[in-house]
Amino acid sequence: MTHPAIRCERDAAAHIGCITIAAPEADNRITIEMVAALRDAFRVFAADDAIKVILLAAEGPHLTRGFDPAQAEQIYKRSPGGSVKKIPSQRARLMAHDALWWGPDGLYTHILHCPKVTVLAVPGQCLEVGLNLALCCDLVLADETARFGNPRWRHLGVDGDLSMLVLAVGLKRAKELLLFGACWDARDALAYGLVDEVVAPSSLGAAARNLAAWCTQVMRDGIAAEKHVVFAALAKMQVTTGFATATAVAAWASNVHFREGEFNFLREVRHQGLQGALDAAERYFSPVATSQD
Amino acid sequence: MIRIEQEGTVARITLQDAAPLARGDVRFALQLRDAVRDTADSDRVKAIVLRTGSRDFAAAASADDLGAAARMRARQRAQWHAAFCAPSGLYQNLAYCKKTVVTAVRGHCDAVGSMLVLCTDHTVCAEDSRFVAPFAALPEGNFVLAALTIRLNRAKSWLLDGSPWCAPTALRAGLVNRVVPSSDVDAVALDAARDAARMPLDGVTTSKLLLEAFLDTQGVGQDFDMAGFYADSLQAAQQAGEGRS
Repeated sequence: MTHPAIRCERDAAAHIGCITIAAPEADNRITIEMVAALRDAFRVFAADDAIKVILLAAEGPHLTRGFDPAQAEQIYKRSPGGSVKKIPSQRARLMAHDALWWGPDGLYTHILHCPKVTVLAVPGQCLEVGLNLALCCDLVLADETARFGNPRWRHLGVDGDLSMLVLAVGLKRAKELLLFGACWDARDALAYGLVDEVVAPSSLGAAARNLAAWCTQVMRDGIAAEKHVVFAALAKMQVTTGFATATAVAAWASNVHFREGEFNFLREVRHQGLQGALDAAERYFSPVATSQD
Repeated sequence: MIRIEQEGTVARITLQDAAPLARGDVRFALQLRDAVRDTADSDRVKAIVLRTGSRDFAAAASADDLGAAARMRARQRAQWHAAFCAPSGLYQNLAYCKKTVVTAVRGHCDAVGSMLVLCTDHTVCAEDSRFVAPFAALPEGNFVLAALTIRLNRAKSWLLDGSPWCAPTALRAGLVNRVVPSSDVDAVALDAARDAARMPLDGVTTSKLLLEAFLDTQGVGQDFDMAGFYADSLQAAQQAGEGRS
């Protein structure tokens, strides 16, 4: 599947496949269709023997603000049992999370188990889906404007895999994002080990290209061998197990019961529209807001 | 000795002093375990602040304290294990707590204090805080938890070097999350807990259960299970005059 907001460029001479998220007018928010196109782009480059390095970049000031909240309810409706009732079935939730993200054919699984070197160039906001892209790619460059976090976790609790985050930055640091709604700037992300290098915004593109070119100096067999050593390590470190349970946890988290006074994003969308809900979330979770109790 | 207060969905557990833990005081460990467990079981609580009312979060243990702990472990091994190390004990109740737990640390943080810090989700400490590695003095010191929190190389350094970490070192390592002036510790810790409490109750519990599953895959529970063997090793080392403590 292709999508106009997922641009692919194959440079066989340089051995680099470049994938660009190109929906800057929407802050590169990721839609269901874009997930499929991203996954297929990785799949195609992974199978291309001329390509050694896959560079994932963005057009515009942000890598992505995350999954498109306008599709927050639609995400389940395309799966079996998803559109039967007002509340999607549990199997629809499980199938959607499995197919899109964590299952054998999900986006994150494809990137994490890509046999080529994967490089991510992060400008601006790198939220939710963006955070998982940063965790799944091999090398991460960020510019000084980069911000990392997952605001959705504050709405519903933690979902998906968290082993990669904890193993990358440490347990207590990970919990800042998981439980406290923290958003790290590029300097913190570098200090904690989430990113490998921080550069000026004007040089991000060139620096990412140079890093990708540097990685292409390794012979193909070497890259494949090293990546498979990594895959074996991921299995031994239980990251593969984490992916296996991530689907169930994500589906489970989508069933959150909200008590009086707690912020329910989808209810706000129904009452005041998408933008109104986003504004209300901003106010509710603002650091200056007083306790809701 | 243990006071529990509640403001909205945030509870605050105040110990006068964590020193009884260093003496291997089973009764005190169970009282603190009960305070943590019962508070976390309340549907009206989403986050807990754990603090002490003393100048030090955990004052330095004396030789007498450590001797008392060693005698307790030798004579009442089963009770000690149940109170400190077992799934029903203090440390696992904290590490696997169903609610978010924030520690507020001022002054000295001896081995038992560092164990409380390792077992909780978030730590705010004062600029004068100093953190003693728990592994040499405490058989229940969980090295897996430390390696996950501060990474393996730093955990080894903390273990083998023997010097307490100052607050900036603890911050760089990821053992603590915030370093603030001593007078601000309680307020900043409370703000952090209030912040965590904005998450839906279901979300808090789900998140903590997910973290529990992750800790289990990494061997945190197994390391607690090994505490009895570590106690034997420590006792043998101390009898041979080789124990650091």
